[in-house]
Amino acid sequence: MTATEMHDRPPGVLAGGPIPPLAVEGLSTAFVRRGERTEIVKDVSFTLERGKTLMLLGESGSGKSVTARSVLQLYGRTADITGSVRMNGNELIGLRESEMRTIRGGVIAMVPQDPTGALDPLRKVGSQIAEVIRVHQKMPKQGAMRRAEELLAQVGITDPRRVAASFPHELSGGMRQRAVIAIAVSCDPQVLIADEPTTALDVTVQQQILELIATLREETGTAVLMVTHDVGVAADYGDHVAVMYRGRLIEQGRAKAVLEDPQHPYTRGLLAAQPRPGIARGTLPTMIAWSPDIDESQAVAS
Amino acid sequence: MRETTAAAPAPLLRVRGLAKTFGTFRAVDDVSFDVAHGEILGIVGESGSGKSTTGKMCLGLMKPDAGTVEFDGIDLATQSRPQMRRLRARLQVVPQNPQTSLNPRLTIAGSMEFNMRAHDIESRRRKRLTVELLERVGLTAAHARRYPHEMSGGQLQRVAIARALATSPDLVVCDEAVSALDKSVQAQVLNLIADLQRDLGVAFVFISHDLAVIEHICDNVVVMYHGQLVEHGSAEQIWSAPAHAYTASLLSAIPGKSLFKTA
Repeated sequence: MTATEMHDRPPGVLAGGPIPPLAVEGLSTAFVRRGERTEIVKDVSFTLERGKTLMLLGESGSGKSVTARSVLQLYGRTADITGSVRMNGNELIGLRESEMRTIRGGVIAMVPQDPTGALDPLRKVGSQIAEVIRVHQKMPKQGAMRRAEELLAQVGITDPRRVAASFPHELSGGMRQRAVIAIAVSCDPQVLIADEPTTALDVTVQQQILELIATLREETGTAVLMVTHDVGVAADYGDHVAVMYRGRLIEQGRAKAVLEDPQHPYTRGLLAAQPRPGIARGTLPTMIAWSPDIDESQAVAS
Repeated sequence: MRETTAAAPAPLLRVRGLAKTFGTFRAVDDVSFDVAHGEILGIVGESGSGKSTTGKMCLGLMKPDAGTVEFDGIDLATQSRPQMRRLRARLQVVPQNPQTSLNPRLTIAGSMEFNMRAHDIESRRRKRLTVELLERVGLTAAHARRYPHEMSGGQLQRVAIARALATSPDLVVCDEAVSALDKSVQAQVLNLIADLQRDLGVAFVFISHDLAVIEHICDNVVVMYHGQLVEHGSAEQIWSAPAHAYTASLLSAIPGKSLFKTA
């Protein structure tokens, strides 16, 4: 099921090339609290390509998670989201909540940072996956349970029947994240948003999960928007990288180009601050985060 | 703060055959290593590898089921509570999360002086030392009057380090002390630890899951896996020529190694 089939809106006209699965233009998100308006995301634009991963890279407070969640309008009335988010050319900003609900988890799925918080601790994993399938695909209970086990096998779980019959606390962190990914891919989403999907995991498990997301993306052609603070993750698993700093997208382009030859002083500083071989102890460059040299309004495209 | 020790063969910390079991889970299983005066020793491993439990036993905060921890020739197990309290002045800790390790109802000065009072540092000296130490870690006297919620994670971690330094320790155990910090802030704290080691000769046991951080800051490294010490070598050797298959798998899992050559 595509968004085009679900909404009888005319697709947006784009100059040349195929219509991207997700096109974000001039996105701004502000939160209003006690009459005070705080803009967290400022005029952010990017486009996802089918079967490719865009890495939204930034440090805490840069607005990368808020950007990703604004795409799905997960903030309700607390947030004032402006700009344009087009799914296959169809505008999502301004859709009714009931319309957004068919999109979330269906054509655009999300893998959150903490799989433990994402799963209901009181329900078995299989029934939680089946629930999502039944909501979006109107499948009978038995069929949905069978499909849940297939999905668990697809995300690399060797004994899907046992895992489906397990409670979240009976599984390791890596297994839980696989189960959450199974939920996310259950409805063949065209866009997968992964918000720091491996931050809570050990480095060897992180590698397995990132490989899994890459494999699923290649097999299904899903476009992936991944939020990360880790330049290494962005370099190894991103086709494109968009660097965020203080709510603005300051540099974007092909991952290799941006990370191996950064143009913006902030991106350069972020890369220089990584501990790595060949840098004498005590001499890590620390110019970023407060340097007046950094003008966050100056975007660089490479 | 501490006189430099002449090339003494005796290690500052001597850990032998350390073991700890929780129920049926062998958290730490026959772990032995030394930390020399002024050395930064890394303990690297994944969750559940026993690195934090090892750290707690090194600090005398947890009793081992078997094995010994000798600090400067003193077996921690033989120490009475008051003796242990005095010893703790020389054996300090910087925990992972400064938001929870600093009392939210005390000012920064309050938290720092609390530690100093516990070690009988007199009032006038406490005030002076607080300012001195805050400046040492890159903060100012003005920060002393603030509460933890008024400061950033990086600033609080500096406070935790300043607090640990108040009693002129010989050894500081840092348990994932930079893991929760942004890379830009992490770099500052790592530089600070390097400065303290160089200028004051403080030794560190630096516990982390991050092999890149360990390689950068440590002289020697202990690799733990399922409670056991699987490899012990220089940081350079662990990074460039890991002897154990587990170390090699940890290394290969680090993302972004292609950047290390260019950045």
